[in-house]
Amino acid sequence: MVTGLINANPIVYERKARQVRSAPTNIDEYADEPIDQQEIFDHIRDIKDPEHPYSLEELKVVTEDSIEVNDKQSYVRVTFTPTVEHCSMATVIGLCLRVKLMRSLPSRYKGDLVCCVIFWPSCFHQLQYAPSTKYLQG
Amino acid sequence: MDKKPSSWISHIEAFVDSSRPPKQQAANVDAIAALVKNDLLTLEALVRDMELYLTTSDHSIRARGILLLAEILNCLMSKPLDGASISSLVEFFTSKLADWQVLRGALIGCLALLRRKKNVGMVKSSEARAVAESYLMNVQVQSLAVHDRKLCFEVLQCLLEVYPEAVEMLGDDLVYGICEAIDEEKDPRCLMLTFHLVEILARVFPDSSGSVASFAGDLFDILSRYFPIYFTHPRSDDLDITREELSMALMHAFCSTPFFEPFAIPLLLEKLSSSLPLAKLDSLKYLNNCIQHYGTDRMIKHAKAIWSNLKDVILNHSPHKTLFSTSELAGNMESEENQIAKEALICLQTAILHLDSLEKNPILSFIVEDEDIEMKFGLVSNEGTGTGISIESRRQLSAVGNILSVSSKASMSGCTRVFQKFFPRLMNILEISASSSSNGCNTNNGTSSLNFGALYLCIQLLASFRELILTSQDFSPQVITVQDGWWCMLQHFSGPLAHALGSALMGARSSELVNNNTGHEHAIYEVKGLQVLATFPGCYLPTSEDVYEYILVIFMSIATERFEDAFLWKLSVKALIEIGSFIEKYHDSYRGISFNRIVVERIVSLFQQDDSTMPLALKLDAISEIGTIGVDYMSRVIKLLEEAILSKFLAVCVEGRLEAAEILVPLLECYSNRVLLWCYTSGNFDEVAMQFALCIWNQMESITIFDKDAKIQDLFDRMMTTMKLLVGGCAEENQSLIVRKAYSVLLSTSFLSEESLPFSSSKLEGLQVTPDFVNLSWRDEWIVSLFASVVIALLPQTPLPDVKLLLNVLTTFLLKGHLPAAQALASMVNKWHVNIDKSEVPNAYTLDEAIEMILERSLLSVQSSSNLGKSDLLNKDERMLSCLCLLNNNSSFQSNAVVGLAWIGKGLLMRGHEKVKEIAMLLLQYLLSNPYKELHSDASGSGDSLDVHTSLATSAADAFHVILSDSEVCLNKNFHAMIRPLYKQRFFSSMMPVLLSSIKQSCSSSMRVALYRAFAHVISDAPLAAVVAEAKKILPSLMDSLAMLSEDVLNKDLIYSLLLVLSGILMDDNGKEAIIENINTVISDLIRLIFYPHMMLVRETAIQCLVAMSALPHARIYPMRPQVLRAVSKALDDRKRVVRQEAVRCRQAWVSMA
Repeated sequence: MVTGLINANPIVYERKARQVRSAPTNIDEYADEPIDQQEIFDHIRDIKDPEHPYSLEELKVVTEDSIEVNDKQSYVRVTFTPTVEHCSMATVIGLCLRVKLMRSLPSRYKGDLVCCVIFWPSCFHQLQYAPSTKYLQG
Repeated sequence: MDKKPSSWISHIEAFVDSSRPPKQQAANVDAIAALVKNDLLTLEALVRDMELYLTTSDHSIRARGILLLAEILNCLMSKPLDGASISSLVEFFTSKLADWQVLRGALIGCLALLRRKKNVGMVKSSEARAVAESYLMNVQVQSLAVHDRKLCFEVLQCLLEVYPEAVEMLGDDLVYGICEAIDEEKDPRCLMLTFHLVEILARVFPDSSGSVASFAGDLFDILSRYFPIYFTHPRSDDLDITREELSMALMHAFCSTPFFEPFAIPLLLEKLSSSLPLAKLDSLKYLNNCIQHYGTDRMIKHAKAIWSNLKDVILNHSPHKTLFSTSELAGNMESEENQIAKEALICLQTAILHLDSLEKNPILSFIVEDEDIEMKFGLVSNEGTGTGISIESRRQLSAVGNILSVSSKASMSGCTRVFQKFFPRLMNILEISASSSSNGCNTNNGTSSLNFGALYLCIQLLASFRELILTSQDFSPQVITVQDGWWCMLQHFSGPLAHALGSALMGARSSELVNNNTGHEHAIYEVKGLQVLATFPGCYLPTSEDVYEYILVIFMSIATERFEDAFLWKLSVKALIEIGSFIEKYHDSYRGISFNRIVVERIVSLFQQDDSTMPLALKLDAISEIGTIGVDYMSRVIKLLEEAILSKFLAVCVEGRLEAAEILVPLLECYSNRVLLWCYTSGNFDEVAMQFALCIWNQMESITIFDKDAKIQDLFDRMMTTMKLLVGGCAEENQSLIVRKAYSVLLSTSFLSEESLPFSSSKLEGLQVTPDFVNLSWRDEWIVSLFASVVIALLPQTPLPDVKLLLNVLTTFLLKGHLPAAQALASMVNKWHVNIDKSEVPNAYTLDEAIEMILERSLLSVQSSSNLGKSDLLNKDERMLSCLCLLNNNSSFQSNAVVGLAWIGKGLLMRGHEKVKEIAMLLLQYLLSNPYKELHSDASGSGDSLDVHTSLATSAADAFHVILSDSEVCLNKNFHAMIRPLYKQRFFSSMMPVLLSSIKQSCSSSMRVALYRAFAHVISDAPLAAVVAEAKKILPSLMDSLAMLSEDVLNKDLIYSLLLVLSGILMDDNGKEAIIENINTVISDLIRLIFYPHMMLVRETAIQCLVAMSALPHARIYPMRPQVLRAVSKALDDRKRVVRQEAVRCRQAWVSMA
């Protein structure tokens, strides 16, 4: 067990201003508003990093672009980038994301369709959650 | 005194006993002071009797005794005392200053005596000096507690302020003593006093050979430790002192004497380069003040240092955003950075003003010869055409621009030097040659991109130059001699410059402007430049008449042709208005003529033409803006608009050209929103409004045939609103003029004029009995509506002609479903004069009679049209109503009557009249009348009649909404309604028990729906506070009505307002109790509403209510948790995003409470 912090001095980025969705002037009561990237991002942006009092957004662990979502097929994939390579906190972050999304999305998104991949560009070290195989290395 | 000597002795004893609570002790002081004040006890006797306390060797008793005497003296500040007793008291307290155990009493005593005013006996100046001497010798201020220190400083302050000549003789001793006293002080309350002490001290010793001069170094040393003030006390403290106050006090101390100069200026300049923004800001403020107070002679030697320091600050802290300063962007950018730059510029201006005399201009020379400025100037002005100006060079640009503009704004000589140095170079960069020919713009056409940096600086210079002339013109009429070199230069250049700006402006592609900010910036400064050139005052106009007109033409061509580019269009119209206002302000008749010719005429003719290239909205914008220049312009605009309105009105109503209505509506909007508003603020509303209202009525009179289709609801409403606004703003006499005119037109309507005048009563009677018979011509409808508008907007005191007839006519129209007529009637009863003198106006109605008449007529007519005989039903409302309910062939009639009743009820309720109860009961009867009786007798036709009944009951329920809601069209403040405070509460509390009990008694479901509907209206329209107070009683019915009403889609708005009431109850402590009592129903109802399909807001609010309920006591809500969670999880898949987000929150709240 490492005693010190894994990344003692992370870079903190500026938070993006909350995008206010332009309210449609003519509201159709019965029109569908599908779940989209921004909505997923709003769910997870404020999750606190396990090590630091900063949010995942401030540390750029998750960004809006790293989210893939298809509402029709009930499919979400969040790719996140830990602040340092080989971050042992990656599993914890992944779990945080997963639980938060489980609680915030409708039940049709359940199961292996919620998929979180750790992504660090240099070595393409991946880690996948699925209900059957809890920890999968590729 | 002799009567009860013991009574006040006991007070003394009580006070001296230090174990008593302070409140009681204060009461003792007051009691004795009151005795002395009322001459029941002399001061002498008091002192004599207190002798033991004042001289005992027990320290604590002596201290209390002296404190008592001092406090009593404090209470006697305004009581005249003779010189002898004052002398002996002062002597006593002076000597006691040496007795440290009783110091507080001694200080309070001295202070009380020193503060006495002349008319009640003052301390002599020699005695004051004795106090000061004893004080300096005996009191060690810094070793005392805060409260005593404060007293010490107050004594010193009092001595310095009231007895300056007495203490002045103490000289060095005094100054030294004060230095010692204030050294190392830390309490903010005391600091305020010490700073002030230094300030007065400097006033007492103004001489250069005086004590302050010799101690200046020491004094400043003590003060300088506090600079810059660092004070982080929380605001909510009892100290009640802010950092700003402390800083101000210290600043005054700094500036108090020029002897501080050798110490202060180096300190301030050093702190100016501090990295702390606050220190910078403070240094700038202090420096600014010091320059003003220390005097030119002393400051002149610092000029170079000041300039170089200020330069650094300005260059490094200028915000780049100010380049946009014409737009609102700069407004919210009051950051520290901005403040620093602003203060630095102010300081620079002060420096130039105070240090630069006529023969020597040290600062200006520095500025003009400064290498940095020179370099930056070269840099930014060569920055290119602007597309890629970096933020840093923007900053530089605005810094250089500000420095130049401040220095040229400061004085004429400064202006001359800056102008001579920089202007020709700018012209060079902009490639403008000083040819005197009018067409000076040269190679530049086509590319149309001026160098932005140079453009910016050039415009800044011109603008500050113009400002300088404007300000100096006020006190000396002839500031510039035309021979000045630079003046000639400006004259030579202005023409070509104007042409260059103009052609650049015209050349700019609109797509460029739309797409990027640079284009906008260019346009802003080009327009500003032209505007500045056109608004030099009077004889100083550097441009020739041609150029001036050229500028106007450029703006006009943008205004008329470039309207698709909204930004540029607005800019140039605004510039035109500025130029116009300038002419108006300085009464420049000569230029006014050409302005009129080129601008006003053009816009007017543009407005009059019906070419469709320019959108009407823009035309209206332009013309109403032009009007705001001045009264003359506005009256022209008003005339124009009125003509246009009347002609379009004719076109619509007589010729039936419906497309004209699309023009007429915005015209009316512009007229009522902008023109009337302007008239209102400028004060000639009455005249304008009255004229126009009469005009409209004349028009109505003259048109005899209206086109058939001339009833367009939009136009109709607009016209009525305009009429209401016109009448509502008028004074009483003008209103009565309008009413009389309107009345005469009303008499010409076909339904009133068919018979010969005067109307026979039978005619009127006929009108009421068969209200439907009149085939109202469109004209009649227009006239009645407009007349109703007039009546709605009248002041209460304005007399109405022939009230009887009006009541009849309006009632008739009310029954035909004419809403304005109902509102007019409501306004009439609302504003009815209570005490009409019967003898004066013989056939005047009282209010009661009028109401009686309206009610009777409206009910009677319904009744008689149903072929029922006129029996004695009239007197019995109830029986009549049962008749009414039997009717089913005339339901629209009944609904109309109900709506009318509602409005009249509203009018009565607002003035607090009793009859409103009667109306409310009538409405309730409609709700309660049971249709089933009839159903049984006539089974076949039951469906139809049931429908009729429900619609009637619904309109009766909706009547409660009319009664309680605020209306914009009538019965409000603007239209002079009589409004009694709390009328809604009153209605709510009187109706609620009745409604609740009838809900309880009601048996049929349809009746219930109607009752719940009425109930929902009443609680959602009543003030929330009143509803919440009754939460316990109404909550069960509230939940029932939610359940009942949610079955019908049409009720969705009502459901939403009910939910809002519920959430209001949830927020209140009493309400929470009620909710807890009904927790099961509330939660299951809310859960049902989470899935309400017809309105997103309902679902959202229901979930929000559930979130709020998660904070209720755990034991009560825990059993509900699974149920709620199940429902909310389903809501996570709602089709609307907002609902999903709320559901996430709600789920979180309920999950985490376990």
